[in-house]
Amino acid sequence: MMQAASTMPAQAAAVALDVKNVARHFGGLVALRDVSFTVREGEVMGLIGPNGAGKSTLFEIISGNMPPTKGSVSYFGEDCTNAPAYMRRRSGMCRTFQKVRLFESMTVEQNIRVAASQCLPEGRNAHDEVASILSQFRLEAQAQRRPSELTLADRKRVEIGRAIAGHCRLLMLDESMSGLTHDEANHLITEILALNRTRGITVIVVEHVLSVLAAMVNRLVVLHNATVIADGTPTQVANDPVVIEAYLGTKQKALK
Amino acid sequence: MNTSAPSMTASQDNGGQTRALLFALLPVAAVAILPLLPFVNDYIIAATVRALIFISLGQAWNVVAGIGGLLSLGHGVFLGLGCYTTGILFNHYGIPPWIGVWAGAGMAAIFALVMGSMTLRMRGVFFALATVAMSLAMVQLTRHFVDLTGGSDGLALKFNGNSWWAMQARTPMPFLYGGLVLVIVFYAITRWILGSKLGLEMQAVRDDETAAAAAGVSVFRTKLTGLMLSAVMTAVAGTLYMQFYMAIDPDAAFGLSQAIQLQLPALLGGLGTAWGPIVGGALMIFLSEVTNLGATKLEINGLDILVYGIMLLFVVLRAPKGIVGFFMDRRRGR
Amino acid sequence: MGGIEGFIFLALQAIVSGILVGGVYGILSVGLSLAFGVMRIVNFAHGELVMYGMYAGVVASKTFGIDPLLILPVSFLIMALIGIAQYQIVFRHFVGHATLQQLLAAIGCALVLQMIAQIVFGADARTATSIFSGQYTLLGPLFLSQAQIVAFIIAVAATVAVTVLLRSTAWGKAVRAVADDLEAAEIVGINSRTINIMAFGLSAGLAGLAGTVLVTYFPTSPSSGFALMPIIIIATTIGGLGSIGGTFLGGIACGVIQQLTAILWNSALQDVPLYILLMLFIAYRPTGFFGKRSE
Repeated sequence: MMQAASTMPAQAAAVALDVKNVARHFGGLVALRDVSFTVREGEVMGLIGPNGAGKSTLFEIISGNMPPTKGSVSYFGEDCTNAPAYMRRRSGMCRTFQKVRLFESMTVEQNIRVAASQCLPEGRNAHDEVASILSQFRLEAQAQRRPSELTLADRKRVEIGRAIAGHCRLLMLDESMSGLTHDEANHLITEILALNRTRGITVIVVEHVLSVLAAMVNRLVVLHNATVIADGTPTQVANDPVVIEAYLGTKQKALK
Repeated sequence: MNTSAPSMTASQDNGGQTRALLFALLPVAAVAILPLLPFVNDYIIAATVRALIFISLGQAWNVVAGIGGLLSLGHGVFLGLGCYTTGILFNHYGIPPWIGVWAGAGMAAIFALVMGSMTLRMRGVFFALATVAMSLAMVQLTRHFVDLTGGSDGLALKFNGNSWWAMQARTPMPFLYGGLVLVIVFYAITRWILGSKLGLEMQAVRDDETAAAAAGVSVFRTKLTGLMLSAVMTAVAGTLYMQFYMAIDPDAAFGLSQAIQLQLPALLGGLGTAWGPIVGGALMIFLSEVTNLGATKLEINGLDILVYGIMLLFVVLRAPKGIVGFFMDRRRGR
Repeated sequence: MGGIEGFIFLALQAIVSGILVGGVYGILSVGLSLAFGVMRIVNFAHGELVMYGMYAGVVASKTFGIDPLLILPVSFLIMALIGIAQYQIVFRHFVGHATLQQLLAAIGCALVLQMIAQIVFGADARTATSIFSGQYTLLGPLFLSQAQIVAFIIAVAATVAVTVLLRSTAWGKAVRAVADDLEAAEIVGINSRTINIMAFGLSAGLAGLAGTVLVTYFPTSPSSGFALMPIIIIATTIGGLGSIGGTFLGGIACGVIQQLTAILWNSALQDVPLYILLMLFIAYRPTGFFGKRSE
């Protein structure tokens, strides 16, 4: 079993992300209704739910690509509901994409440099930052390659490297383990947990498979039918009858 | 691309750069000594000037479309603003094109700012439609304000003999050197953009807008900056166009076939590369001269346009990276 | 006539003839909108297909002495075939995304088609006459062209037919399924390739039909296609790219605005308000009045 994230005293840490009563409608369709939760600095939180539960919608709202119909999002105490995505990124709210999205015409090094040069605080050298990210993810050998020449696991690492380059306080990963072999996934999880420990980055991991997350997070939020149905430690959530019901329910539906 | 790669050793880099410099100086020298060659007449020099002008215009379009990925189909607007502003200032107020060129560039920048602010938040196709509509609106407006623009007949520069002050000459020779300088400057600007932070942002936005925003790039501002830069370059080249051709009319300035001639150099040569418009522009003018020669013999009008259409289809369907892109891929071993 | 009465009369004349002209703008644009709605293809050569439809009318009228209105089905079929050829050679590579390359390829098509027309038919403007051409009717105080009235009726009929085809037939449902979600449509066993070919054929056929109707009161030349494209684009954008009914109404709006501008202000500037309107729509409502969210 892997080492889980640092168990910080949750009460003492600042609130990194506060999602309050967020709702989102698409015409008549309700993708999210009244979703609220908070994430404290230093936590590694898992956000799970079956397909269609509203995870992606919530992710896009938090990262600033979609306005919520109702509700608000604040980031380290500041309301950012209406802040554009790039401003959130510059203040350290970082994300990856479900299907890896790299700048395909650029080299790995350039991919990371774009983010580093945008998001570095004053006085720090973008060149050093890019070098440090490349070495942290052991991508030096691939620095001058194009993304299309890399393996999926490497592409995901480039994307995470680009996501945190410059300045990162909160990292949101969208199904980063999908498509990876067991070993590759474990490797990636170790690297993500290292970011959490050494850089103090708060992490939110979105997955639809619970098993991936149990080993890695110290808290789970379960989304189902557009709303939060459970919030607690992995053990609490795994034994929650509502969650079991929800997951079994979907399975049965899917079989029909 | 010159992007200070950490893995590349310094000596390799220098060797490559020296070779590239020599490679670049050859065509420059060839154009510069052209008038001295025995078989060269004014006709050939004029064709070369046309090539240089369209290389410059193509390089300007390359900045917005090749590097920035913006579908501007109405770049004739900025060409026309450059031509008409310079021409009107000279004919009506006696202001020389040396000043007119900056007025034209300023007009183009303002126009790009207004148009860009309205349309650049939308994705691709709507921006493209807006640029087309803009150029067609300009056709009607220039036709309407006859006193200022000469209406449908167009605007002809007043000619008072050779003059540095008026940037006018009976022979095409001075424009050969003017065009050469412009091509070199625009090439340098493109190289600078490609290696700069702005260029990196523009390419990121071109590749994936959402991912660019997630990397902290202000997508809208990047697009707007690229559009304005390209508009200014186009208008500056427009001044040279005006001084060389001595006349402009609404269709030549804002018409769609002109807009396509602005795009072909970069498309033929290779979008997003600094060499693309140079290679493509030279090829385009060569082909159009040859077909026009053939068309005169066969008495078919507009054969060059047919050739442009076929070239456009060929490039888009068969060689999307253009000539330069094709060779760069071969050098990269793909 | 007195000042205010004269003004009302002129405005009324402008509105009614605007609706008549606009109906034809609508049917000119419906095909473009359909191709975009189903395949996300913006066919800049749509105007060229219209222009060939106009020449079909000219050939029928001048060479064979047949009324252009009688050859509408023929014109529809020929253009549908040209459209299918265009799709097979060019557009099938670009289905799903209106990219720079797709727009450029369409412009390439337009240039080639335009120049072929110039070589075949010459550069001069040509006319065709139907039995309604040059005939006028007095409707109360209004002076109306019979050719325009007939063209309007045909335009409405064609638009209704297309709407019914898409709404009520099995084929139409398959087209809409492909437009909504290509992958899902493939999963339920719809062959999107055939659907796309047919839809593009329909789009081009409508352009041909519209052209033949138009030529009964409006002369054609090889550059007519380019000249008509702005109106087609504006009608489609105002009405909503991808919405058939919306596009038709967009055409009528264009016709009315154009005629009001021409009659009450200045006919040389009749399109300028339309361009401004287009910019405003693109800036504030790019999906038009009836369009779905695109891309």
